[in-house]
Amino acid sequence: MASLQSACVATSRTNQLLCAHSGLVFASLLALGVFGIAGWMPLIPPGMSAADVAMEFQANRWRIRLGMSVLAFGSVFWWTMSAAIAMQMKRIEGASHPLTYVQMASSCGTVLIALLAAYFWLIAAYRAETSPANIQLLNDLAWITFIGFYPPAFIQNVAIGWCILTDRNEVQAYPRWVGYANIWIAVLFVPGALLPFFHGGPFAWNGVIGFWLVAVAFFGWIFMMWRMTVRAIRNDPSLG
Amino acid sequence: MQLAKQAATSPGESAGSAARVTPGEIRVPGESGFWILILGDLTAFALMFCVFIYYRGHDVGLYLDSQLRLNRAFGALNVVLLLTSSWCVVQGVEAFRERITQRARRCFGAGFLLGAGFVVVKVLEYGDKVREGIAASTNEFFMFFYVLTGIHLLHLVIGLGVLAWMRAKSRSEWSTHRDVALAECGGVYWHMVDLLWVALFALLYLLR
Amino acid sequence: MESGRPASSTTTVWLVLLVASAASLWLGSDATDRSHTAAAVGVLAIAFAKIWLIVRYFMEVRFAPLWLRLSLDAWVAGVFVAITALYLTFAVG
Repeated sequence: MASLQSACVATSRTNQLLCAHSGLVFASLLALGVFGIAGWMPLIPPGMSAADVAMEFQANRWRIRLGMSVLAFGSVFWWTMSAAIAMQMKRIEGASHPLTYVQMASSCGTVLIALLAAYFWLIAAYRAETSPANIQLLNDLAWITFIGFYPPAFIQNVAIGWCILTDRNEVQAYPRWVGYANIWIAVLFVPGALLPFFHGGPFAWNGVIGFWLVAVAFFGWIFMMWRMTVRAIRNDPSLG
Repeated sequence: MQLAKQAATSPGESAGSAARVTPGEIRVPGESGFWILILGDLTAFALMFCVFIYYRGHDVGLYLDSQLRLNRAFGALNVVLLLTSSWCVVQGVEAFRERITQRARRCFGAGFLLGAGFVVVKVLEYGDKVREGIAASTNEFFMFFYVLTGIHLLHLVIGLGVLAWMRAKSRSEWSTHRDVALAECGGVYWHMVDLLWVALFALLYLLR
Repeated sequence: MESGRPASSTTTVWLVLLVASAASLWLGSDATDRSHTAAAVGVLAIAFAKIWLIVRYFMEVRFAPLWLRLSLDAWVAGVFVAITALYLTFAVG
């Protein structure tokens, strides 16, 4: 009986670690798909004319479709990573764990960002011979979704941060600074709200604030939560 | 669990006593982790300040002309309101530490009112500009004006919530080390809102 | 009112801050016949001096451990230098 118990614990530990590491898979596939294969570094500027956008999709339709397929596949690993974080939050909250639900539910938002954007771009490349206005619309749909869709990510991070900061257990899953960092990064996502107002400049989807600040915060968060969640799994007393 | 946590002492504070600060004692105001939020937010704003100056450099004439349409009086009044509000909050945190609840409540209340005054002035200022037909899309200078002061205003409104919480917390005679640390965090956040306005006032209203 | 406690020094700082604000308001107005550049650098210097005072005295960082004091001093100094440098780069001509 005891060996079955410890086997279950070992499996649980392995699965949690797999989920935690999957965050890196998400980040890598996203970067590979969008920046590597599709080659959108620098990003397609919002101020680009419809004709030029259409030309981009016609000229590069194979690269774009391949890159977006990679992005689409990679998007689901945000769920697996969020599940690892959810396990820690459940450990912190105990029997009554509303914040865990908030975190898990809002993680769907970020998965949607990657999935929807990937499919909008895929469709634009699929029918690249359609009118430039259509292509531009699909392109706009994709970019604004991909970068500006901040509310779910915001509430996901706030839930994590709040959970960590109200942790009353003896063994803290995450150190308190991680809680504060989550709140800060949540705030850094808010400039996404400005994207629909600008076709250029620092607050547009390719701007210093609109893109770069948000992107650095986003990838920084993934790296931080990856390291700190693995650490949390390792210091979990219930996992031995 | 909860009692065990609250009885835990931090360096320099004896268990069970009021969270008295020995003048000159070296300690982190609030708690260490909280400063990630402050330093992080300060860094984000620093980036925005630099971006503003950079963009300004490419069209100085436009920025100088547009700046003349700003109401300096409103800006300066807001500086005074926030500086005084910060002063009140400093007194309030002191009183909170000493468990002088009446004074703490009055100080936080005053700080809140002065901060609310800032909001009123800002709304009046925005209203004036809108009536003159100036929006964020008018030109680059006003884009920065609205976005930067808008983000600051958001921070301030959150700060008002923090001050209200601190005032409510001052009600009970019994507050823990944790409460004092949180009150200090709240104070530090408010002072950050204050100092960000000092920077914005200089950059937007005074820099010629 | 506690006298001789940190409260009185923060009151002094508050008064200094108000005076400094008035000074920078004067510097920043077109009423002066100084060159824009010198006045602008003055405005920035006063602003960041005020910020430093707020950090030291209002945030009570003067009682903080070295790492925190240095981080904040570095921010104040760094941002002041960056902004002033950027301003001066574009101010010439």
